[in-house]
Amino acid sequence: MPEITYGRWSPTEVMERVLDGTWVTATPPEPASTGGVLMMPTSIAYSGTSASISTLGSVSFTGVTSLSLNGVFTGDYDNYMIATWANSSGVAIKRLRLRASGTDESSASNYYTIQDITADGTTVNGSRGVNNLTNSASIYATQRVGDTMYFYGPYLAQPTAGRVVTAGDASSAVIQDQAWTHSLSNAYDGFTYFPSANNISGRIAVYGLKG
Amino acid sequence: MPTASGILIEPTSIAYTGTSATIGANGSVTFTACSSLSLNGVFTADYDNYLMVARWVGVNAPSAVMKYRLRASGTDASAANYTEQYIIASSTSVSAARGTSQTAIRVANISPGQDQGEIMYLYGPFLSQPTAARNVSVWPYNTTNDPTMMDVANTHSLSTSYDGVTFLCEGAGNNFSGRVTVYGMRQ
Repeated sequence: MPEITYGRWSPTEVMERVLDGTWVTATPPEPASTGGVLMMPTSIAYSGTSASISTLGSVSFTGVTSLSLNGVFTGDYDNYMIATWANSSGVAIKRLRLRASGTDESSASNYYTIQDITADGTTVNGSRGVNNLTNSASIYATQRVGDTMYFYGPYLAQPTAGRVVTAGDASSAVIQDQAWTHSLSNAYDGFTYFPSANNISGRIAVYGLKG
Repeated sequence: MPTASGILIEPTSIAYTGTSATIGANGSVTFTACSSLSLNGVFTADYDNYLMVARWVGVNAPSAVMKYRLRASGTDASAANYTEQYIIASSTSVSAARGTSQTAIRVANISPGQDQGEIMYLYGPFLSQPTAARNVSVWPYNTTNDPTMMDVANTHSLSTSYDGVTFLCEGAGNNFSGRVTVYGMRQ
């Protein structure tokens, strides 16, 4: 079997050369060395103006008060990286809940334990709390706050750990990181992302990290 | 069929002041004893967010500060529109500070002859909106290689599209060597 020849016209457009020498749209296999893959949600749900899944799998959203990504955690990967940038209609805290088969894990007020560290000017503070949700970052109307989250083992039937690394706030700059754990030994295939108040717009992408 | 998470981006060109800098076959940039290094054409409309991985080694620097600037069409954005918040953890000491109206953003401290590593997350540099970024670094503080954490969150307030970045080393005679790689995060 001869090797198939692929050409990438753009980051989202790949063509394959066929027998008559012409090029047709194709999807090449990922190289074995690829460290991670962009996960395609099996579905999304949202409350607000709009949300849609891109051709490759990221989700763009506008004016939403909640956004759920289903089917992004699978048995193929233990760990995941989630990159997001967003802004909001007003000050809010971005929050998360794990989700299984379309239902948020919010069944008890103490399943999530959150360790926060905030560096604001010359002040560094830490705090720990328990809740029925976990936080990612504060968000503002003027700046698209960025954060990168790491989820460790959400689909495994064991407690899940997460870490959030953030940057944001246009009028200044703030470090506001979170480490969190979830105590139940359940498998979760998705999560819900929502602001504590107001609504948010931006994009979110989930990457499965090959083991 | 799954899509790869990140694409290694080859600069359209580079510029530097110092001994040498080259673009490798896969797109990463290796440099030796430079006081500044610019990567052009690494941010494009194809990606919102980027990951940069860098390894620095100080040259002739007693303990120098590495900084970066955003860049558009070969020109650095050097006006005082950057804000930085950093945190340094060394042994039992944790300190923090904010710098406002900065003309460049610190990304790391470097010590002579020792590897220093960092990962930088950039959010929306090519988009016509303020840019946010975050650095996570390890800095060998002294000759005994004591590891020190220096993390930086920073913002740039202009709603301008930038296609590149410049790294520079503060202080006359201070240079840096190493390698930097830029990845576009698929979306």
